[in-house]
Amino acid sequence: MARGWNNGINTFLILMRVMIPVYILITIVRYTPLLGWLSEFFQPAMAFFGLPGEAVMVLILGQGINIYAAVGAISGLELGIREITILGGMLTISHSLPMETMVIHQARVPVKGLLFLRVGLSLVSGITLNLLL
Amino acid sequence: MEHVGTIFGEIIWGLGEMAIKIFLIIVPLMIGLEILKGFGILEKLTRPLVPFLRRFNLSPAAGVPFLVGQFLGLSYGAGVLIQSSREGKVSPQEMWLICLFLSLCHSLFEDTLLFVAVGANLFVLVGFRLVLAIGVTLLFSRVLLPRRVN
Repeated sequence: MARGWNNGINTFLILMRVMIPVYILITIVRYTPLLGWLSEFFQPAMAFFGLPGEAVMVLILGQGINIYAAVGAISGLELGIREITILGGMLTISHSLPMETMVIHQARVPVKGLLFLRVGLSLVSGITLNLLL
Repeated sequence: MEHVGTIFGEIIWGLGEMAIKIFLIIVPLMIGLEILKGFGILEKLTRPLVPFLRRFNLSPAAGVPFLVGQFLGLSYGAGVLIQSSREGKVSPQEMWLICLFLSLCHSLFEDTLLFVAVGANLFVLVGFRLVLAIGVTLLFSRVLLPRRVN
């Protein structure tokens, strides 16, 4: 019991050390035009996934913030089942990258390769689902 | 500049809410896990996973971080991942493979249902994600990073 309590408190402190700075950074970035610029830059690539250009914001919010932000953005767009399924496939594989990557880093696991695989596979999944569906 | 106050307030409230939520999940979880470990129940729960883990060249000790990460997600499951890694019962390579699988596939139903709620196809999402995570982890554990099985 006492050991569980100590482990719990330690883990909580480790997580807070990571989550507080990431959370602050993300909240500030949301008020800057950065996400808008990224969207503009990546918009033409949406055709590879069979998605309209405006869907780029869903991907950026999902990757940079979390799935809730992405789903919120989906409800604001008029997308069909096919498009939402493609977005869902890409984002369930890769999302909340700053937060989740920092958490894995705290477990002393090398993150660079994992991050590269996640993003790469998410893009490949988008192209694949576009061809399959 | 009028944004500064809003941002500051959002950060304080958001962080407070997040901290309380994580505390309320992590502390009982870690206490619960210690109790389950003490009674040997944890070992029984992860035993059915052993044959599955072996296919990925993972030892039975990998069962706990694997199971907890799968169901609670990376953030809440992180406590167990961090602890497993520090205790050293699970090798660094095994930790990498577990994190590879979990990166691609965690909170399988929770994440999926959020998209299904706005219109996505449940079976496509679950099937695609599982096949991809299992396939990629098999590829790394057996072909790209093979290692003798204990």
